[in-house]
Amino acid sequence: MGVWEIAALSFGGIFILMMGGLPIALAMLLVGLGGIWLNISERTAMGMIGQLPINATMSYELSVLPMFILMGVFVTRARMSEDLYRLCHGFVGHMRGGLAAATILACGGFSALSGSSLATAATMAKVAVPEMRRYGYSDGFAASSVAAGGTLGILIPPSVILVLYGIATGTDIGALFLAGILPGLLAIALYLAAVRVVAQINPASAPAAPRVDWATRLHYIRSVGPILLLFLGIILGLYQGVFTPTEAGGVGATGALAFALWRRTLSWQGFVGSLLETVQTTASLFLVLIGALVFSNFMNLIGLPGAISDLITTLDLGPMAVIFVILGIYLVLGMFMESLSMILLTIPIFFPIVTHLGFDAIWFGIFAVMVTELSLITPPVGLNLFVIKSVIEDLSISAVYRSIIPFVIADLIRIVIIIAFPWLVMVLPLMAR
Amino acid sequence: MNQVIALFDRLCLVLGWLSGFIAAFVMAVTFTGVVMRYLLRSPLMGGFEMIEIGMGLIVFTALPLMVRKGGNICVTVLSDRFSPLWSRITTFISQSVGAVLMAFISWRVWLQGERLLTYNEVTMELRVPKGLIAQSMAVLLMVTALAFVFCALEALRRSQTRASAGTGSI
Repeated sequence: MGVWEIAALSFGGIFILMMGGLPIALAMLLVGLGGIWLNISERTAMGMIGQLPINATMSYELSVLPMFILMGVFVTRARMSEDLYRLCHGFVGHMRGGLAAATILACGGFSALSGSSLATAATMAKVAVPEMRRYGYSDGFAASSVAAGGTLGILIPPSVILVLYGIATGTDIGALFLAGILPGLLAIALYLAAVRVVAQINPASAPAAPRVDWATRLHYIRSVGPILLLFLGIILGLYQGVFTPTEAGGVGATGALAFALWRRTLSWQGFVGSLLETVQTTASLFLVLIGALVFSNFMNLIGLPGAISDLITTLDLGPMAVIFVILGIYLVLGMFMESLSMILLTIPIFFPIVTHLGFDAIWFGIFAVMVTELSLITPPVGLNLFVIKSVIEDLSISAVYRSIIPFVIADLIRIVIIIAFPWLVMVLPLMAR
Repeated sequence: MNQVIALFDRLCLVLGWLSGFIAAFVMAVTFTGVVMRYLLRSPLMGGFEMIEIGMGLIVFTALPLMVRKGGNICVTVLSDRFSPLWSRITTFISQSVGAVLMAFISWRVWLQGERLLTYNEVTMELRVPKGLIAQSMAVLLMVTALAFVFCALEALRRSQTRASAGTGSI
């Protein structure tokens, strides 16, 4: 069998196993290990699987993952989401569509403390959707604004997916974090524009709430002040080179713990529960990472990246055409796959090609994460939509499908902007060098 | 049988606690390292290695609990629509595959640990034998394989399978 037949069979095998309910990590492990055994040699497979779990887990750089997950868990336990929402509500809630705008802004703030889109969406849904319902917002619009806002979790640093991309490709994680800031702010701006457009077209779906006075607003600012300082400290520390990303994670988690203790929202049981939640999430992520590493080694051993490069040369495709082809592939994959497996399965294939074509590794990381973000709100899978549905049970998923369209358009516009103006991604990492 | 499963779940929970406290230790070591470097102008001796070893142990000590809690990340778009019987069968097969894979990896990691012990490989600063770390991981992987076995048995015994939910943290 040739490279293409083996690759097609392997991807097809993974797809069938995943759809059959086999955990993603096990599907990649099984196909990767079996593929190496059958196509390369038994000795290579045996040797790799003895060493890879040790080398992949005993990594200083990867300790950034549990640290940022822990930080997010502590911040959630400190009920920061409620304060953030109250603050944003206080400033923009009185405008038409203001509560949806407040949701987007609060999600952006929460994303700066949590590296997970699903966690951001689930946490903010509990706070924002009941409030928007109380003021007469349509269910679909309320849920869509949380789903879209939740996607900011994997772009605005710290981001679990950016860490995994950095590890998988050897790209500087600190630079990736800095690169995510401006596209993250652009995402917030475009989502706010989408809210505004919806509120203009259908005012009944997004009425205004009463205006809040300045004394109350100042009180709200004070309540979130310490944690915003923590975030700024982490980002400035990374920017100035004071911390490595791992150290930023450790300092952030310690700061978030201190904050939760100061607010008296963390009991001993809550502390132990936070640790348990963190390590289970970490274990499940690492199992996927090990599976992805085995599978990507298999793809490299059969020479798939080289074969794709040869194909591109033969077809005489320009760099931009390749990027749009990749975009198309991600959009299709995103309709039935979740973000982490999408990134880990495809990056080993696409990364060598795009860097060979002259694209920067940091830019491609942000591009891939942004397309993945889009997959989180694209029906029929759109994991964020289902997370919100699981939190708000009496929600009609078809209403959410309709209302998510303006946010999907905002995401597509952002992707085009990033392709047209790559400096938007690169300016902060370049300034920090 | 139920008592055996309850006892095993207790073991998984204890391992999960251990993993959690190692995570707290890694957090404290990282923070202390930064404080010592900037305030005392002296880096924490062995801090880097403590974090590396801690990371390995965090993952492998948490794996059995994660498996028992159904924390493996799955694509459930199709499997959620399976009939109860078909769902039980696919869950049994999935968990059995997990058990075989984990047992196989455990065996290979154990052998790698033996090799490292033969070469007397130790970490640079703390002089911890790398083979012992690898063999601890192998033992924990075998416990994970057992966790998959118990999940497979439960799938056979239950009339309704537990939904394979994601961790909700990606």
